[in-house]
Amino acid sequence: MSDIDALQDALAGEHAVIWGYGVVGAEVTEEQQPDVRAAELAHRCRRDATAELLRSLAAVPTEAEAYYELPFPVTDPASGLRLAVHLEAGAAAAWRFVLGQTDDAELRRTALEALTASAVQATRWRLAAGTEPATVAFPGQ
Amino acid sequence: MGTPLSRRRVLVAFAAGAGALGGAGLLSACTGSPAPVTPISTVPTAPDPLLAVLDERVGLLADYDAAGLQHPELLARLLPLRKQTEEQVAALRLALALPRPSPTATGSGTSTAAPTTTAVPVDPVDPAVTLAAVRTAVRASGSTAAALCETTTAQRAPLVGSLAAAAACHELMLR
Repeated sequence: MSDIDALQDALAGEHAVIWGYGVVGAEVTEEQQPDVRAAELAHRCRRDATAELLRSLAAVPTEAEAYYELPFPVTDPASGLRLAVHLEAGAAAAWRFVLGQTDDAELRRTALEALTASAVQATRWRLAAGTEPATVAFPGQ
Repeated sequence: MGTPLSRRRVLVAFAAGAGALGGAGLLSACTGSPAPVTPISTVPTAPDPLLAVLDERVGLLADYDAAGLQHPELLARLLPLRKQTEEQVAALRLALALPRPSPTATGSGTSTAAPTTTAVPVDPVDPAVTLAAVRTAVRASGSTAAALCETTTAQRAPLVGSLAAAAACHELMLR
């Protein structure tokens, strides 16, 4: 595994998260919609930046899949929030993995920013869902 | 999940074996001119930078304890964070191959710092002041981990990065 492979995995994860937020948005309450949109936008920015980074490394960025399998049925606001937590935890894991695949300080910084953003967003979703504790000891692990 | 511990034991055993080889002069024997063997322990080295991350997390445990003593109404908020910080301290000790602390010790780490060095003010009037002090200490621990994450080994970077991210989350919970 190289840093490019790890970045491709992280990019594939970002594609999946963006798709998943479409499902989340369809189920959560009206007052949660702005938060969903903001979280989704953050991942769109991350996706674009990651694709750009891969191109700069002479790699062809991984494309999004047409459809993704949900980890559990998402049928109401509660399961929508659980999916949101799941998405952010998955993104955090992918970016945590990138950290161990490179010695490049700049790429480490990029990956850590993404890991931290997803960990914090997962915490926000757990708070919204009333999940306790809202934090984990080792985000992305 | 017993692998981290057993791997550590293997590494410790390996290090002991390497030391024995050097001590017996086997490595210098084939050169014909016996060179002085310098024991590894006497070579001056900079402290492992991961120790600074460990020390700060151990300091946070004391901060949480002091804050909880001063404001028992904060305990429900602080205890889950303290518990996770304890798990982080344990993971850091494993990464540093440090021995397990005695179960009777009040602290979990190597630090022998007195409570006077904690971030929590001695006599705060307002729980918000106490929370802000803990939050500042958590943020500092996150900054230390984030900085180290850029320069540490690839093996340690995921753990150190995860600890930086965890600090950002804990900070959010202390707002």
